[in-house]
Amino acid sequence: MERVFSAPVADIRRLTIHDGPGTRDTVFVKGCPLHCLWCHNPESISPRPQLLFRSRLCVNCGTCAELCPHKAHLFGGSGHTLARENCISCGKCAEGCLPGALTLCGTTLTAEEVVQNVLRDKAFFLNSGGGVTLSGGEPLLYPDFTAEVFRRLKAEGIHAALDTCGAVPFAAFEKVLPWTDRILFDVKGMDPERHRRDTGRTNEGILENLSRLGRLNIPVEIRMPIVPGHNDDPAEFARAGEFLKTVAAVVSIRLLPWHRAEGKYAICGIEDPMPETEPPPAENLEALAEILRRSVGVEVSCD
Amino acid sequence: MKIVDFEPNRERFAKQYKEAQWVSGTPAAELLPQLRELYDGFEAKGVPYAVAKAKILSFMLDHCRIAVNDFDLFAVICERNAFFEHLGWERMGNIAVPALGGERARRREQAAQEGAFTVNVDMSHTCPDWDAVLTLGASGLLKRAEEHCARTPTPFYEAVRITFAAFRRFILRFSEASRTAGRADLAGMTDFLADRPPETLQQALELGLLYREMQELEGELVRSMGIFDRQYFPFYEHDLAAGILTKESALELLTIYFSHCGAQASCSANMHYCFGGRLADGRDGCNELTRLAFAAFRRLGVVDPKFSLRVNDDTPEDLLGFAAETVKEGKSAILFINEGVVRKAFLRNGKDPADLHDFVPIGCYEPAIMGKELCCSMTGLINMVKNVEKMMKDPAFEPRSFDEVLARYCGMLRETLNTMMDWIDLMEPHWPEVNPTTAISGTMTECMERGLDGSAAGTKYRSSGIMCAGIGTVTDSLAAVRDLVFEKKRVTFAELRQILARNWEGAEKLRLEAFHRSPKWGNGDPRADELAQMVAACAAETIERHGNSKGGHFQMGLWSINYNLIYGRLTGATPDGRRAGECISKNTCASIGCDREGIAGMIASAVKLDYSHFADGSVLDVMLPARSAAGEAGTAFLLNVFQTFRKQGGAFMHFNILSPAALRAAQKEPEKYANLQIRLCGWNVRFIDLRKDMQECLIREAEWKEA
Repeated sequence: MERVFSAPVADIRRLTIHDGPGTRDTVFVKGCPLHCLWCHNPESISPRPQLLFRSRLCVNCGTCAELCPHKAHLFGGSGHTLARENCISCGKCAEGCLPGALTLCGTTLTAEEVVQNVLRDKAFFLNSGGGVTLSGGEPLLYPDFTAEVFRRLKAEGIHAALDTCGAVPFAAFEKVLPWTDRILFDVKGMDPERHRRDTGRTNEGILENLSRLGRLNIPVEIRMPIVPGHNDDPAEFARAGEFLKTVAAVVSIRLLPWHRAEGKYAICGIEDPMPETEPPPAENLEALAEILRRSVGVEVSCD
Repeated sequence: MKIVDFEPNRERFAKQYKEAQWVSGTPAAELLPQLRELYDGFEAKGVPYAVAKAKILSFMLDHCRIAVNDFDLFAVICERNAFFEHLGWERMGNIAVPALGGERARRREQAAQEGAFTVNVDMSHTCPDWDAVLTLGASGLLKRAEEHCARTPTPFYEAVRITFAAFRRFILRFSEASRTAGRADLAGMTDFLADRPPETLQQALELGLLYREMQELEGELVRSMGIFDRQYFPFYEHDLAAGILTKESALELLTIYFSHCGAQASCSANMHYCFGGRLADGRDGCNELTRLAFAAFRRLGVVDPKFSLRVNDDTPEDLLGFAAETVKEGKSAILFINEGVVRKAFLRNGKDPADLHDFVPIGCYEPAIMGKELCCSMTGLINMVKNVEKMMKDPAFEPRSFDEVLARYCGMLRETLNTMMDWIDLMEPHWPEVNPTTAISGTMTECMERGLDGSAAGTKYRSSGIMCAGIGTVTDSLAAVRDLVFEKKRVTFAELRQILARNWEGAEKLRLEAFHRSPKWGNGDPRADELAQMVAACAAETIERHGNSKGGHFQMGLWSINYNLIYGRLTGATPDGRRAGECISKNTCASIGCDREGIAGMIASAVKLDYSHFADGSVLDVMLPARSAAGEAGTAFLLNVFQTFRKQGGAFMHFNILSPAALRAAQKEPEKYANLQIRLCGWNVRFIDLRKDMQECLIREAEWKEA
């Protein structure tokens, strides 16, 4: 009997343009081995289902309070408050929330379900040289699932891209590589200790994985979040350039300037770890990009 | 030729209509009573109206004020008046409406007041035969009329002769005014055009503008300036060969030419130019002039003109990319057309395959064969949602199944449409008495050969259009009835009737369920989409089956202009969760807030309709937040959206790329956002010129798209 592989999925975004070539659907799995301070998708860090609450959509109808077995929804003078300490993310309230203020993030989907979902947009992929990107979270926390999604996409003639933080055993990569057309690989900094403080892990294994991928025939796009005061030191960039120069498969580098994850932390009920940060100035970005252009010799773009 | 640089004179060009320095003529305020006196005299004597109208037009063209500016490359500015437009409406009320008979005339008025439907004689969706204008010139058109008149002295030929004789004198007035203004070059050009067809690009463009002024003074708006790159390319080639123009000087000339549209925008409707498309030999028609015109358009960045691009598999990629880049800059007046589906619609309607390459979109999106058709695309307008409201109000209607609901709705829709078309058939025969289209007819070969005005069915094709508004709201309403009454059984049909009569008061949870949970058009959801297909097919078949009084037939349009608001204000609560007075869905779009799968879902629904049914046009307007279209990837994305739509059989598409923050800011400080454009159905407008309720509606839509 064919094995069924599944993973918790935070979201499937249709028709994205920044996660690989052409027009794509991006599948965000839930669960990540890193905990970056600047994470832009905080709802995808935990692999478990999570209740998201968009208070601006709430119409104070009180249905959620009626449905919740754990008294997590309170209605008082200040309207609707969510007592997250009581919430077990069962999702009963979300089922009954008509305006969509409450949603449960993290539906477990099989590879087949994901592929059926994205196939709706096949015409857009084929018209634009696009396809599907698995992102997250970290897709390689679910290597069998990712491999199965990619295998099915290839059977449909659809381009498959993997967006990874790289903090997984190389064996996970090996499972998916036969069906992977492009890798989007995050490089979040060169200093191991700094990397550990910012993301929860050192970068040694990550860079080692990247080196090994670099010897293969799959094009790699490097994605570097630029977070002021954390990883925007020109000297560190020069070191990144030296390293990336040695990774033969790198075809382009994209700098992703930090910007505020508008309201996302509040929706998840997580405290924003970097409330005071400001986006990096454009001229700094351009200077960093220039360092990489000179040393690596590939196209470097800034968002 | 001497070319004025556009850029240093940009402001002067922009203001040249508003601040025209009149050289000769009588101010409109003095002229209008004289025109009225003439009209009353002709009426008293029983002069056939076409001849009387031509004589009044002659007087108008001989005496209206004209201006020539010392920096311009064209001599075309005249003082507009709406004498014939107003007279047309007056005569419609006096002649065409009474033809309905008392009771029908009363019901027509009532239907318009309650926002159910509107029927009229459409006197203004026209396009002359531009090929004839440019190849024969004023003198050639006059000569042809004189020859016919000599052989067969009918009032029609007499009217055409008088009209083109007056047109020629009108051109000579500009010659005289040019001399007065010290512009011997313009005087020479207009002298030439009075007696010969144009030879150079500047002359051809000048003649086109002059013809347009004349026709619009005659009381019919020119809703298409023709197929620009095809009509004017031979003149451009001639000028290059003769050393009159270079590519660079041609760009200056075109920029100045198109600046006339923007400068005149406050006086008139958008000037609509068509580009590209297949030629008679099957090749794609885009050429260097197409690129120059688009470059001029992008450089101008003004609300008017509007450009339509007929797209096929061979349309050059660079041109498509350039058009998409232009749209992204907020220059929203570009319409992308799948010409393949328009050809299919034409063939379904029995049009001659040899004529199809002469297709132009008229007004907003109404396809017509240039030189052979007055498409009359707005003879009837129907609010398809009104029948939902009426069905839901009928206390005698107690359906036992959803099939009964659907059958009832479709029956009501058919009945309304047939009533409308029956009434139009009573009114339209009076069009020649209401407002004959002498100038246009004088350009059209068939009209001249038959000796019949276009309004009297002289044209080769004789269509009448019915604009059908609110397909999204109708679909969602029917889907909600099926979902809530017959499937989930949340409420009985009778209870829902009472709830809607109370405008959802006391039933907010049910309203939220209807709005957020029942299937909606615009998400690729077959439970909704199949209803849209059925309703659209029901309307199209009813409309197509109905012959019109001109010996042609009716055709369906699926668009709404600003009637999503006008009809919305007059329509009670509907089962889809919409409250009374809120706008209905626009064009072929989802209702605001209901396209929950984004543009992917919207297109998945939209391509399920058979656009060859909508020979009177249709449009999907795509609103995207600026971030979705950022960078080169964003440009490619816009084209992918259109091309995917086109390859799956979609028809017309335009884009608004904007952010709600900019719209809000424009409301607060309009002076800073004077150039913020909105493509509003066929109109391209300045956001700050819109009514407050339309602004709010757009902001609500933009906020939804951004979220």
